[in-house]
Amino acid sequence: MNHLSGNPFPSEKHELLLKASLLKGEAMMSAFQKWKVLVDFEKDIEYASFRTLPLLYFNLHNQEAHDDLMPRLKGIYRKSWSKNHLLFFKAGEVISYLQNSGILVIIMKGIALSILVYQNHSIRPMADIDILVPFPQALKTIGLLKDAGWIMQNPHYLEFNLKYGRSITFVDHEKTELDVHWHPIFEAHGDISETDFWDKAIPLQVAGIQTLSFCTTDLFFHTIVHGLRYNPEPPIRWIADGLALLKCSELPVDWERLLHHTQKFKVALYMKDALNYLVREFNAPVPASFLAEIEKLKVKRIDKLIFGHAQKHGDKNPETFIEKIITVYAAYMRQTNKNGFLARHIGFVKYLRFRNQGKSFFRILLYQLSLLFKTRH
Amino acid sequence: MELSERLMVNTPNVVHETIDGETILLDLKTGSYFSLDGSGAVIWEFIDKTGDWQQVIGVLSAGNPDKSALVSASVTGFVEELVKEGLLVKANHEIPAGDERLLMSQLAEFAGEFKPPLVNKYTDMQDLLLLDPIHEVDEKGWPESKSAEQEKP
Repeated sequence: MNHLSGNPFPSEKHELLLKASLLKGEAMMSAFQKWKVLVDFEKDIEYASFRTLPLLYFNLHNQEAHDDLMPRLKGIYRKSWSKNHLLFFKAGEVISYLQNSGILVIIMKGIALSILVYQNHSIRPMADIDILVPFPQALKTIGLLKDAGWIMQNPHYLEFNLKYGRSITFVDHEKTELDVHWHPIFEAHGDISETDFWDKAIPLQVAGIQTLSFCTTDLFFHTIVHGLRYNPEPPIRWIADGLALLKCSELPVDWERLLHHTQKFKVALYMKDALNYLVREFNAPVPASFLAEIEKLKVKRIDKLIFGHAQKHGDKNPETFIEKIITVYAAYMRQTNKNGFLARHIGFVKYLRFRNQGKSFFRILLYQLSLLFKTRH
Repeated sequence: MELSERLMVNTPNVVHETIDGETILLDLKTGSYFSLDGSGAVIWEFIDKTGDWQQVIGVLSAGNPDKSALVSASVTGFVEELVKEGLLVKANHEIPAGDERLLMSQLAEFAGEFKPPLVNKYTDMQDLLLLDPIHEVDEKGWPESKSAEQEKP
């Protein structure tokens, strides 16, 4: 397994930290002691590790572990608790405002996971608010947020994102980030029907405001598809989130629905790798029959290419001309629902033209080659 | 404030959690952060679950007959401060009875060597959130900054 920094699968240090944060008893203490030997707490705590520390504190504290790091870990837990509560409070205000204007809202990712699954406001730090609105209500939502003083980031992306993307980001005067999604995933989002993800949405209260969350199956699906991409900040917390969801006995995963989504949105490779890893390293409760079903799913060559790109490059900015071409190609192929080589590639040419504001394919090629020429000289 | 008045947490503006014997509180409207420890945390939990702060004085005084005046004055002062800060408000509904026996036994543990409960308040949340909880804090951890510790006499 590749352990490049940013790889969705953890390095040795990250894996030890996760085991210390998620396992119990001797396995937890052993992982924690090994992690402490490998990591200089004063110097080596990068962002991905830092975001795991509240969970580490919670696990160590619950198992009555004693260590000289505990007071500072507790402080990190307190800070995460405060930041999250302030974020949830603001999320509640946004949800209330949108719902009162007739917008349906699903609260996604960290906030939903904290309330529904972790049932704790500290152990899942987050930096932003993520909401999903129905695609037909996206423009109205954007207008309402602008009226309320939220500032759209990169507004020139909006038209493109509405056609080929899934979201746009806003910030407020306190620099709180709000991601408004109209599709929960990029993958094959042309296939998303109006009821997908909404049909099993469940009630959730955020800071006293009644709204909706994905059901745990859809939360798990989203966690895996979103998490298994290369990111400059190693996206290791999909492991903690995924395990918490699989162990959520009050709201168990519906394996049939998960299989259906996996097949429909062409993400069998993501699901297979993620589940095999969680079972192997963390003894995750996944039925063997489900793993067998996932193994049987046919994966097209193009889906292998998209998955390979997600693992190796993901959301990293491409550095070379070739990387850029592959990234643009993978981004298109990732989101299209077109089948067949010809249909996909005609769609790709249209995508390129739209992306480049109507310029012909030949002009785009010439422009990119001129950039290549400039960088070489 | 009358002893007979029942109190409740000022939800949803105030959120709180107790971990490792410490209660942390946040006023979401003002951004003020508070911490209660020792008997303060247990008194908070008692009032949160029962609304009855008269009983707090009763239990603590019973375990401390020599210091009942001190107990009464310091608990009253503590509760008044929580009310003044907007963390507790008058209960406008009946609070369902919790497991009072367990709560009373927790409270009784603090009666023997009674120390007046304190409210630790931190007002500037913007500054607090900028504080690096690994490198810029004292041995108690966030929100106690190293510099604040150095400024103490």
